[in-house]
Amino acid sequence: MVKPSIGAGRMIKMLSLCFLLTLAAPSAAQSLQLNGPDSTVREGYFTVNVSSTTDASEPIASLVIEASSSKDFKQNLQTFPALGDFKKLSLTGFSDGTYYLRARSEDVSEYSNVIQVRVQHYPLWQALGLFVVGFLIFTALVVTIIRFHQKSEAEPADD
Amino acid sequence: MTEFALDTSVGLTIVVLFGIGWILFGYWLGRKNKTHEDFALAGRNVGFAFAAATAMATWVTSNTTLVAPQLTYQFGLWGMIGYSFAALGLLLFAPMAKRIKQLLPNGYTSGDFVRLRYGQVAWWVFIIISVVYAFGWLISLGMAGGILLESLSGLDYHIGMTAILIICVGYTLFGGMRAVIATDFIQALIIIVGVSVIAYWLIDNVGLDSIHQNLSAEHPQLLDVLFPAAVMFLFNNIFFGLGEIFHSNVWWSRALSFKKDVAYKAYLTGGLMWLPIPIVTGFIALAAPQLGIFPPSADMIGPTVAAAVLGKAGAIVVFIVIFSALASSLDSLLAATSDLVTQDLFHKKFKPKASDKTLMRFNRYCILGLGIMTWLFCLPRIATLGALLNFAGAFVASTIWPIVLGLYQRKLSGSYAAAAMAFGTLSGLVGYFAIGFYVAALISCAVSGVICWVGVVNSQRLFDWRQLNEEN
Repeated sequence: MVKPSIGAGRMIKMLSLCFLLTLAAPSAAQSLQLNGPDSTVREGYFTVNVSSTTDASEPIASLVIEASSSKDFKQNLQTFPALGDFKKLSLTGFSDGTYYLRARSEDVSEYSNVIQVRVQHYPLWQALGLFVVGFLIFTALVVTIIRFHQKSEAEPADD
Repeated sequence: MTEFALDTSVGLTIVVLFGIGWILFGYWLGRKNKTHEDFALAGRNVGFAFAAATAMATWVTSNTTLVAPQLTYQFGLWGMIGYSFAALGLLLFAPMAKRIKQLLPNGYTSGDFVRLRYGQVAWWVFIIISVVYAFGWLISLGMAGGILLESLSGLDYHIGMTAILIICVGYTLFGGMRAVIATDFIQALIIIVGVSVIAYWLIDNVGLDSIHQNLSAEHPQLLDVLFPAAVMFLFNNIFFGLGEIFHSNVWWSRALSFKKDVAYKAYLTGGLMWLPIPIVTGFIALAAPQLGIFPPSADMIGPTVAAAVLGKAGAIVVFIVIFSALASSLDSLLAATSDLVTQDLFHKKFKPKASDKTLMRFNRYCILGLGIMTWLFCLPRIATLGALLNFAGAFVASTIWPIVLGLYQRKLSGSYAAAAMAFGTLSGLVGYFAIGFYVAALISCAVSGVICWVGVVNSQRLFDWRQLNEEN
């Protein structure tokens, strides 16, 4: 049986390789984490934010959010670039449906995790019901003020 | 990579130059203040031009310059149209302002009226509502200053917020209401000219057709006239605006400081001048998706888009317009709230025999104290401007009916008025948390209105209007 032996030169090479791998590890392991709304969105707008697993304070270059109505991001793909160095985006104008979102950046080779956002607007009957209630109260208020004003103009304040 | 329209140093330079200018102007105007009445109500002698300008400029605030674009970005067309309906607050307050001047020729504050008309219990409820609202608005204005600088120049939010508070507290402290109204006049001119320039620039650079095409294809919800949350928001915003104006001492102190027969015309003119401004500021936000601008917070959308379209020169115009809008409201609110604390709490409750000099000194301490408290509340950026303002909507909308009926109807008693404000507010808050911010004011006003109606039907005693004039 031959015992394996490691020469000094080989040992130095291996240690150097380990050191280089240690240095390179953060960038290789860097990934993006995307977070979005936890519950169903009722108004069609919501905020998402992205964090980097390496250094939260470092800017993420050319951060873009992709949204699609399909899990494989092949249907109705929309892209939303982040403003400046911000890692948070306020997105708006979504109709009823389920949307899949992910983040990408120039710095990171892989996409972030995919999040699912469900948008379900309030039922129209509920909105119109409130509209009618508001309209009736407002009309009553305007009529009240105009009639009171006309009356007070006709009769001085010491009526 | 940074895409801000202005260098941080340019933003700071504008703030410093404006700040020095306004504070010196306030100091110069303040030399004419000889009595507390001069300081708090500008001698009750404000003419039509200044009166209309201050009404319009004060109402052009973070609401119109930052929140109108925010809500347009979130609710689409209804956001800007709904916001322009807030002009109804000024228009409907016009006849009431005339009535206020008639009923309270020697009055100082809206709190004075509620105490004399409805008694102590209603007064306490009213003061709590007023304080919550005043701080909500003050905080939103301080936050808006920070957001403005951050959006345009990338300057840290806390520095921008601190700068605008120091400037407004500075010139209000020196000049009182006289400085507030005089600076409002200049700020109104800046706002009107600036907004007109921005509107022309935007239409010329972007074009209505291209914005419409992009929204139709990518964000059709923003063009939908039956957008549910937006439809719910419409009347809520109207009632919020009415509640803000009807109850707030900002508007009462103006009505009382105007010359006789000026208030009605001034509020009417101010309202008509204000009407198109949210349409212009809101329209800016509709261009955002086409330009690929998606800010971290929706309340940053207005200045960010304007700066992106208009370039560096445009960004400076936007900056000056919004800065003027914020300053014209912040100074008014500081002055009116300190008047309320000085007159209603310090003078009426603690030091009825306080000399004129003591009242003036206390009023100045109040302005300083309010500025410091606002700064402390602004430090943590707790919510978006829209959400913060609409929280106050649950409070102020409950005062609409008690104020209107209190000014014209002799039957509504203090207990019903207090109940209407208290239960209206509580119901509005339940709506705010259970449904959303876009129903808080509507629910509050509806519940308060029902209680007032029951009160008018059940009350037996008739109020004597002469009790409102404390001099008699």
